[in-house]
Amino acid sequence: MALDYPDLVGPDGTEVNMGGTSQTCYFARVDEINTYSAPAAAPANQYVMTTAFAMKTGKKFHKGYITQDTGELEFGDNGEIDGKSYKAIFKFFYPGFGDDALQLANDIKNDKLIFIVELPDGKLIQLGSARFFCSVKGNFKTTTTSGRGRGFEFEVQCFVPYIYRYAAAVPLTAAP
Amino acid sequence: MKSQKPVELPASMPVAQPDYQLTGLQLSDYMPIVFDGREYNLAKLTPAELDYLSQYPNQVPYIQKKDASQTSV
Repeated sequence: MALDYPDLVGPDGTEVNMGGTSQTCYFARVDEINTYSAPAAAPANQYVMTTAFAMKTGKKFHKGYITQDTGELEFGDNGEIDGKSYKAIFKFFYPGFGDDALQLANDIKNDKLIFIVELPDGKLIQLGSARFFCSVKGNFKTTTTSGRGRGFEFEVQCFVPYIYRYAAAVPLTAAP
Repeated sequence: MKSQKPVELPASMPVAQPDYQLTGLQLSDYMPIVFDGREYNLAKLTPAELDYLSQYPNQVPYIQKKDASQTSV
């Protein structure tokens, strides 16, 4: 495939480049996805997903709360020369030791998921695809008495060939 | 005349929408999606929200706007 690079013209002063993530993320189990997101048929940018995920009957994307200033996403370099890809790591803190978080941390540790990370301006980044899934570690920490407080440090990992922006609806309502 | 008791709809009953139909999601009176940095309740879209989301049938594939002949008077 021939590559045609765009010019990078720099900011015009209107961009929001605030760091970190928003205080909400979205996730779904791979087994509960009927069809995956995709770019348009003749996309202006093949890395922007404009066809929405469709879920299996009774299934939907879930919401995850993120403690302020703890959400962080990084696509690190992966592989050797001529074999480059990305290793995405998304970290966030969920406060407390509630039964819902306890159940999620225990149940999710060997599951395969898709995550959608929301940036401060509302743009969405998709982690995982039909071919590469996310795994999640939910590490519980009490911290110290003078520290942040108890809670779960979630770490989402995924190897991906590309960085995808998700530009379609996130279905927080179950499919019929 | 004996007064009639109002009929109570079950919680899962969608609110009647004169301007649009919904497909691909379970119908109820609260049907959240997130799109373009906002959360929308598809069961209760304002006219402005309906006009906006209807511009993106691929990205938001749940809404079918009724034409004038389908709209009740």
